[in-house]
Amino acid sequence: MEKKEKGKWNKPEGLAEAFCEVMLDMDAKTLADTLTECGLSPKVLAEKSRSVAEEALERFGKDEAERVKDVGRVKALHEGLGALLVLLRRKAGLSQEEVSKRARVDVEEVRAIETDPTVEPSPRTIFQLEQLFHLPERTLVKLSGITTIPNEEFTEGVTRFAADARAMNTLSKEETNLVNAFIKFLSTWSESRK
Amino acid sequence: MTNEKYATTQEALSAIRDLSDADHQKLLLAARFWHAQRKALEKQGVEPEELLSQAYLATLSGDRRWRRGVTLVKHLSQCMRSTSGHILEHGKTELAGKTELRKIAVVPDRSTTESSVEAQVSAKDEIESIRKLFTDDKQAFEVLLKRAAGMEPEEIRAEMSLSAVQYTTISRRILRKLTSFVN
Repeated sequence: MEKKEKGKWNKPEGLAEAFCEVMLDMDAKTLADTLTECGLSPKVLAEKSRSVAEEALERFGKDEAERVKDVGRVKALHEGLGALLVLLRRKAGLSQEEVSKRARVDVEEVRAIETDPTVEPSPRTIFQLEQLFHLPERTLVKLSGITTIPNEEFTEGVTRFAADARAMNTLSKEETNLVNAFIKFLSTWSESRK
Repeated sequence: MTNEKYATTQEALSAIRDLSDADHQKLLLAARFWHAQRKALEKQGVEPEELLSQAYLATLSGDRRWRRGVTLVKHLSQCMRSTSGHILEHGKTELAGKTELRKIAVVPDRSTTESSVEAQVSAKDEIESIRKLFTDDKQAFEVLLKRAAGMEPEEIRAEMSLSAVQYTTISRRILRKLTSFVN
């Protein structure tokens, strides 16, 4: 017991906490009776407190829905980023290893960007890839989800592109046009339009 | 995935929905207590209900994880205590956004981190204000001190040779002090 006492005695919070804990330890009837004696209505107190809980639960539900939506959008952006990287690489006639070497980024990250939309690319890699493929500034960044999460209109455009790009096997004139058109879309889309 | 040490969000959600009237009464009293304990909160426009709301949100989001073996009511009270201490240090401006709100409740306990002279003076004042409340009831204050020392009610009863009824009576006197303290 001595050890316990030394642990909490001198901490200012200990006394305040104990003050509160005595109340928290009480059984329902003793609590209600004492509150009534003090002129407080247990029923009103419980109702007020319950409404705080209900509001918090509602707010949590909304926050969660928003978070799930954001996760979905980022995944869609990464799908677009992967598809674009594949096309850019093929257009330049480069292997994943060559892209890695020339851009001075990890080959595993290049592979992950191309195939796994759950992987978050590093800002440096995004910058290096923009440089390698001579893209206008901040084009790939918009697909990285690193800075802002764009609106649904943008995400839908990216999703359509990713679907079209994935369906192509060989780099045709049509494919090249698709890449060019998408880069134009990326470079002209303003990040302020959230 | 189940975490053996902490409750999951689903478990927390379920436990919050299952809180009894008595639990809700205790939580609002605890919110008012921690609010009254940090007198400066009122000046900053923070309401007791906000402390409670933040405790729920931080627990549900996992920012302030609920340890298994601790009752939800005690866990939420501890959240409110650390949140109120953090607001005092950083101000209510941080209560603006949902992310910031949660972060507030993640900070470690004030008792282990706060080092500013001002905060220590404030803590001493707080202790003094509790001490003054009990000048007319030494026995209740002794129970409080023993509880603060980490003793469980059964241990206190044994040490002070109190029956269960006597201990309950003292607890009721302490609760009366608490209600006068928060009002």
